[in-house]
Amino acid sequence: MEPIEQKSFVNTAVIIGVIFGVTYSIVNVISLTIGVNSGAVGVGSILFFCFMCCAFAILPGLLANRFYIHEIKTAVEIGKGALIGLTAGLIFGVVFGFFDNVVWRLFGVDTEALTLEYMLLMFENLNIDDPNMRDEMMSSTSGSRTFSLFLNVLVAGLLNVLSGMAGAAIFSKPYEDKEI
Amino acid sequence: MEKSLAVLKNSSFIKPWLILFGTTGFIFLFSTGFYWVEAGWLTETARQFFSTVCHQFSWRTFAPHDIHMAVCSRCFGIYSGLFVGAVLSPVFFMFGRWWLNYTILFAGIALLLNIADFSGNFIGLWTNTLYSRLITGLLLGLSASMFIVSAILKQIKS
Repeated sequence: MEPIEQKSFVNTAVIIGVIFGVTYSIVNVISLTIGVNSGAVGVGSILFFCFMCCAFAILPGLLANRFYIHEIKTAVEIGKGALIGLTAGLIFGVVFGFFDNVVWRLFGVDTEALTLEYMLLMFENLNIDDPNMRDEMMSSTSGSRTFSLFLNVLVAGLLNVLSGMAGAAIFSKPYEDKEI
Repeated sequence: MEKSLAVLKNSSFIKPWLILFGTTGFIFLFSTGFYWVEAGWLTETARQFFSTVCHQFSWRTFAPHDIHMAVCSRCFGIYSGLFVGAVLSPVFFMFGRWWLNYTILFAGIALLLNIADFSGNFIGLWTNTLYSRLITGLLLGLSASMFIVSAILKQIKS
């Protein structure tokens, strides 16, 4: 077996997962704080969060595959791409959850309360008036944090299995014969 | 047809396809919020599962049996599309291979449709509905799944 085939994907997946977990958490808190403090929560920030939420959730799997494939310069099987995505996604979920629930609290930032405040301000600015909205928002942030964190890690892992498969398909193309 | 069946029976196809099928099936099942079971704790668990990736606003979510699903209608469309695509792609493959080279194009068009649906509503050109969001999401999920299956099939050297 050639040495290049033995190169593990774990390093790449872990590094990408950690980078994205930390970056997402920092960008999230900074954006929420700017929005809440300025009071200017509106169209721009909705678009920003719509992109950020989905993109950050699936990018670790995609990019971990991209960097791994470019490192080994060989096409990766879709199944292995899924595994790379899963690893990157789980690490991303754990790091993000750790930052959200532990690190920011050291600085006195409650991300859950900040998000709630941000959302309510957003609806106020967009003139969306629903008496049940506040109750619904409050109930959505209740529940066990540990269990919620576990579920969030799981969903990050599963979504990145899919993005990992897509990533392996996209980034392996230059290195494989495209004919069936 | 026999040649296609031989490809589908290949373990190089079955293993990654099973991963796709299992993952999308699991996500799809949770995205429904288990409304047919009518068990509050299960629905709440499903809602917590997606809490970081979907806004879950009740007015943008289907509520069969008066129980809100765990995700909004667009997300539900995407997740169900992914699952349906994983199931149907091998069937499509048995009847023809022409689509294998166009899946990325389908995905691009579906993504643009979603952006158009979202943007048109946002700038006030039209008001999108639960069903318009469901259908555009469904197309995106379906095309994404077909893209992954086509990539698996392309990797099998016949």
